[in-house]
Amino acid sequence: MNRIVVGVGEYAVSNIMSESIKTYALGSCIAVVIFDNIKKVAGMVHVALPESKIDINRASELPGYFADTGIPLLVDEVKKKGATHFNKNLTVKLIGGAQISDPNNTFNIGRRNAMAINKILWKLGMGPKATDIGKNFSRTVEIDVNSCSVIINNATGKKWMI
Amino acid sequence: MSEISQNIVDSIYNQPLISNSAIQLINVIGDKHHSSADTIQIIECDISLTAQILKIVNSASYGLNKPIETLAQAVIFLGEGELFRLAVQACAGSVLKNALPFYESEPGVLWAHSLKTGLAAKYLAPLVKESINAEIAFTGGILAEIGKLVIGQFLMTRQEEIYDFLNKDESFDNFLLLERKFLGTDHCQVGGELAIHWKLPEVLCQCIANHHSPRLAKDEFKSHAYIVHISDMVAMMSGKDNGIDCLTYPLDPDYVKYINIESSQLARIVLDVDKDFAKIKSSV
Repeated sequence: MNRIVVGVGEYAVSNIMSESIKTYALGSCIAVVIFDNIKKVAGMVHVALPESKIDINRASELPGYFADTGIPLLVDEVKKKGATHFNKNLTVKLIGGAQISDPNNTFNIGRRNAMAINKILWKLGMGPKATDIGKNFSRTVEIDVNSCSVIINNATGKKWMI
Repeated sequence: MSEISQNIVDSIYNQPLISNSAIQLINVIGDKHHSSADTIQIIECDISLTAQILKIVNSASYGLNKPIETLAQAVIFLGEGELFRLAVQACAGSVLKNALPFYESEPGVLWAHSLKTGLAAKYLAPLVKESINAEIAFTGGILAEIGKLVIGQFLMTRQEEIYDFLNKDESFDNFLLLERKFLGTDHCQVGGELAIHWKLPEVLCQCIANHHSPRLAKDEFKSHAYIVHISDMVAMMSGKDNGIDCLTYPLDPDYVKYINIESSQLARIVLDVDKDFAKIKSSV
């Protein structure tokens, strides 16, 4: 199987059934996985921060870095690869967004990422079918294009699906 | 904290030095009466280090029209602080680039985490309420995890039972307690001892020993210790760190007594650290 690795702020889309898309060590970042299981098209973006307004130059270089530029782009790209043109028929899963417990509410990037992503999905008429978000551990996630199964693992190698 | 077992103490004394040039540089930069000529002199005596720095400065990521041929030119272009950071990065990289099998860190992951911690300290330093030495904070970030170089090998011998323990108790949220449970010590205490062995300035020994418990640092070093503590958290949050212990250390909420930072500033720092990190990666 050919594996496409997505780095921080990057995205990838595939309609080749022998391929998978994987991103490592999400930390407070969130992997947004969008797929069409009938047409066998899958995409993933590794979102680091909620809003592109803090650095529009960075957003044009690496749109996947921000939720507000990365998600619409990913939706367009899965459609270009043959997925349904009806947003509501696309399946969305969210993984990552680890949190550091902070009573001062400063270290809340994971939660802010999740809120921003849900807001953008809502505007696009979409919503996550499954999520594995929060808690205090870093996740690695992979989607297999053929089965559209989303497999998550932690650093000890424990695996689970959503 | 309990006494460190003899075999770990022996391992501390057998660890290779970060480099003589780095230790001289760190001690010079910690002296507020030093001049940039002192910094240049130390680097110039290390031919390999000088070559590495000139190679980085002349790489495409710095976008120079005309090559920089001497350290004296480099210090004018970069400033002394940046020259110091490049030198410490180059020296520490050789020690921190190896894999840490127990922590599930592949080659380069510990180095990436350490570099991001140092870079976060650089950006957080101006937000500290009292004036601190930004280069010392950067170095504290770079060296915070050196204790793992020593205890990783001892934890590795018990990897299976530790992983079983972690997978059974998912609520376990403090990796230091796990290190203490299985070894009687942790990477902070051992790192602090290693820093003393390397004859680093006391402020750095305190930062390394207390980077997960900054409130235990001596009062005069607390601001530096909190900066390194927060910088370590920023590095863990920013992704790419796939170590088994990533995000499994508590945040000390008293950082607000020492650092003025809001959520939006933190996002900006995460972004700046990522951009600097990408620039450094492309220059070496």
